[in-house]
Amino acid sequence: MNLALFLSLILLMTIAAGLLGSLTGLGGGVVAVPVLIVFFQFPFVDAVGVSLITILATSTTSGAAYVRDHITDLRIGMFLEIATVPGAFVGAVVAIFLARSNLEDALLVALGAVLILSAVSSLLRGRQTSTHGGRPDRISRYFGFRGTYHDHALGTAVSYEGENTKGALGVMFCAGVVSALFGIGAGVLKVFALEGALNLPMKVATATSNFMIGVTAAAGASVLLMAGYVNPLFAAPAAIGTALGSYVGSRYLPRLRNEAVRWIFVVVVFALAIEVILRGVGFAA
Amino acid sequence: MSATPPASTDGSLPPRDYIIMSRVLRVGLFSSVTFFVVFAVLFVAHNWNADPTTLIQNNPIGLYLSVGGLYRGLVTLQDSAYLTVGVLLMVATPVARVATGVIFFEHNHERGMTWVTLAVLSMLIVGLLYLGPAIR
Repeated sequence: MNLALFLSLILLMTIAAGLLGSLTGLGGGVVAVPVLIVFFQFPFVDAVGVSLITILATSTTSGAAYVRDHITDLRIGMFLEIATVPGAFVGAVVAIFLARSNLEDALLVALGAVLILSAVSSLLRGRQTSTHGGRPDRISRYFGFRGTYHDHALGTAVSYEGENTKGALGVMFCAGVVSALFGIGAGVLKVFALEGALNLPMKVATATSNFMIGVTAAAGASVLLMAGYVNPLFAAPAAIGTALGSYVGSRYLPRLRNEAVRWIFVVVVFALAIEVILRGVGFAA
Repeated sequence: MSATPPASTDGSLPPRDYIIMSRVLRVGLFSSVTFFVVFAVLFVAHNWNADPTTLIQNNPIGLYLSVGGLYRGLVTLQDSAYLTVGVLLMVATPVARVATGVIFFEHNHERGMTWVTLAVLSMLIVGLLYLGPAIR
């Protein structure tokens, strides 16, 4: 295939990945990694390296918009990064060592399982309703994990206060590991920690997750980059594509009902997961 | 957790800090994407008939992972060296955002959050300068 056509296809694919990633709050990597492996024949760790750069572009684009709109809780996001960064280091190192030990097939099967879990949890999350009147823990009170934002859909101000910070830190460490190991934003786990453990409203959880995904991805990407697993030629169109897709997604997020997006996302990710698993067990072309 | 609580009482940073942090992210993204667009186009123009599979298998990044190697690539006008600068800028953008956070929290006299963000910043720098090269 011609190089220009090849890079154009990567660009188009990552525009779609960035759009879906931003609208679902899960990051574009969930789509980008399997597509790079399945359609563009990237080795696993190289796909993870490129994907982490696309995630940086997604998070930076949409994170800038959310921060400007005051939906993101900067304090909570920056605090929890103390758990996601070491987690990402662990994930990146494990990914490199497993790939060097010829255990790439096992990584593919594990990636497929993570993709299916992401798809299912995305559906379940859409049906959850949470309350925000819990009791803050000591860490939350000390660091002032509380805030208010104006919800355009409800037409009112929504207040919240963080709970169970230790539980959120544990989940965030796992999110860091998963992010760098599989080249995904691990937004499912981050939103789970923010919404499920800290009990933040979903919009705040989604925006704060997007904000955090960048630093987590930077931690994983820095290890893979300096270890020689990020190809700048393919990272460039992938980053531009996701930046474009996520810009459009973040611009329309406050006005969009997420149900249709979730279903498109679930179908795409489920199909890719099956293909990746088949490839891992040796049944794919 | 018995130290002095943070000065801020409503849980949010001043609006100006949000705007500055948003600008840091946008400037980093814009710089990185500019390198990507210009030098990806030049790379394609200079390597029109290159085989993408070969380019995947022969990642040029190894040439530019030292200061000397990157400098040589830049002065000899290698497109892939400039693309590497774009990647480095993309990775550095969230790191700059964390550094901005350290300054904001220190400025707001929030000692706890200052130390937390400083720890995150230190880990990111150690990962970039030591952990990755150690397992290359």
